[in-house]
Amino acid sequence: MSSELIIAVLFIALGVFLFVGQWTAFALGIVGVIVIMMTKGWVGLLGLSSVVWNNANSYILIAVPMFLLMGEVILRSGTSKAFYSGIVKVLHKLPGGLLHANIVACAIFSAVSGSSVATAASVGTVAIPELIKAGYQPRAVYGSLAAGGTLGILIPPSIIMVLYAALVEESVGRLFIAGILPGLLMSLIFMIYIAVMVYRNPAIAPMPDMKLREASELLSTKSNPLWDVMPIVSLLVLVLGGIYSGLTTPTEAAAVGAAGALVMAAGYRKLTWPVFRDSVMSTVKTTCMVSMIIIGAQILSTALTFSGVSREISEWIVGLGLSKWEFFLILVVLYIILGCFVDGISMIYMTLPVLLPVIKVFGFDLIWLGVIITILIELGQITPPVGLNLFTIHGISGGAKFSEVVAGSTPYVFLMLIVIAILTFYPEIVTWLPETMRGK
Amino acid sequence: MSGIASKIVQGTGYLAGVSTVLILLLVCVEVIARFFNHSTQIADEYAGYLNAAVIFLGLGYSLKEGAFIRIELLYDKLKGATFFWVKALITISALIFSAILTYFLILHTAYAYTQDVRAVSILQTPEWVPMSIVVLGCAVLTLQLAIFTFTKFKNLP
Repeated sequence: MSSELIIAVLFIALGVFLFVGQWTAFALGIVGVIVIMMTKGWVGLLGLSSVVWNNANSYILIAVPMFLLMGEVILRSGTSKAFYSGIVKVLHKLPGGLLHANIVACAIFSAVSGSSVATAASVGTVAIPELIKAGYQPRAVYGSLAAGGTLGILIPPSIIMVLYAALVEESVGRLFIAGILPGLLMSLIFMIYIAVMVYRNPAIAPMPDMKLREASELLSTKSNPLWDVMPIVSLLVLVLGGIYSGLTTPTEAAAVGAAGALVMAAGYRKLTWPVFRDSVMSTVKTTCMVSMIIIGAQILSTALTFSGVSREISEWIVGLGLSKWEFFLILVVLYIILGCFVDGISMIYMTLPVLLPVIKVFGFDLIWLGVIITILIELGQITPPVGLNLFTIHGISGGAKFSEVVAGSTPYVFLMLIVIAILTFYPEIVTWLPETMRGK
Repeated sequence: MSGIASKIVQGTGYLAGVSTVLILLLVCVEVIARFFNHSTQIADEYAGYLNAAVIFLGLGYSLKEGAFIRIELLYDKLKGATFFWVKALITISALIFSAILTYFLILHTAYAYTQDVRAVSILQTPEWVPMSIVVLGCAVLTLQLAIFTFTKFKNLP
């Protein structure tokens, strides 16, 4: 059967299934089965079970439910409120102080959560009512939270990084540590943008005055801000410290982090049976969704390898005679476009199996590229029409227009592109810290 | 009949939850044991099996609860007969896919049983044991998709 026909069936079938609303995981798997049937017939399907078993029974991927559980416990136990309160107490005197608090809270929270949605939801749930009550411009509030939330997958731990590392067979620990400096750089750039925005239009954020103090429940608590942030920061040190020092593998760090989150919730007297049960069952649901996308995408990837289409696409790209950086530019544009429609996990699992041989031919550092792709996925989370963080912030905003959330987030898309440009010209920002690790 | 099937889906979902907690305990015990220069010797292998249990025993439950993501641009706007036929396409194609997957997983498990395939580990666990859990989970997913089909996609998320 000709490759052209297989490619036509692949794109048409995948396009139709995704467009009509088939669950992404099933769309990938169904098209994979169709392509296998076309090329190898019924016998080709004998390999399906191995694809399923190898992905389900993977030690690296155990980190996914554990990091999810850690984030869920923190989110559902409401322990993020005391933490956010501590950040606000320190930063509220700055112009646009609570917007900065959003970014800083998201950046720190990202280090105890592997997901952007959990980060945006945890900080946003506490922050939105406070900032709106204090008179902040809603658009600016939603933008800072949607974008700040995306730091959840760049600052380790990161579920996307676990999945990328498993796919390209790189060290999860090194990739995690590589994300720290770019994550801090991005947080800094977000905060500079907020400062400039508030300087140019002070109406966006009211100056700290009595109105804010009276309005803010967070500022009225008497506790020391250091004690407010200490539990989350301790958890951060426990998780990242273990990986960086080599004392724990990322999977073990994830489990220790989840146990730490349970202990922290118990310490706040927020660990009730409903909180525990809902955290566990929510972890199950997200783990199943993520894993089924991986399995569906791996079936499709196997189908493309069986049919020879992967090799032909790779050879075609290499045959175009592109330079390394022309290819990189096309990759960035491809991911920006895909990110508007497809979630990050599907995006990397649909594209990388085909593109990885080409990426290796061009000699990209896979750790550096992993960080760049993670930023592109972050960008996809705040670009409409399909942006998970836009949906999350819209969902907890209490009736804001979706367009207002999009408008507030749009400037951060450009800031992320600036970060990608900086990391391209100064790759040491990514590669330096992993080189200093003990537990490589 | 549909009530019993729904309970099976719910029950396997809870078993997936229990498996999640067991992973947490097993990996933490391994980390603590290491500080005392000991090892359970089974943590990596059995945490992997438990992860497979979380994924597959939870599939039907997660699908029922609407955890699976899709592109909703068109789906949310559809109404009437068109919406019905789109839901039919989505569910029945997923049902066929799930049934095919279950069938080949059964073949794999039967092969592992007859050939006595074992893990390369200290316990030499027979592969058909954890594989059976995966088969069960995949069968429950197929069951949930069948429930959606027989109830004319009434509660399809």
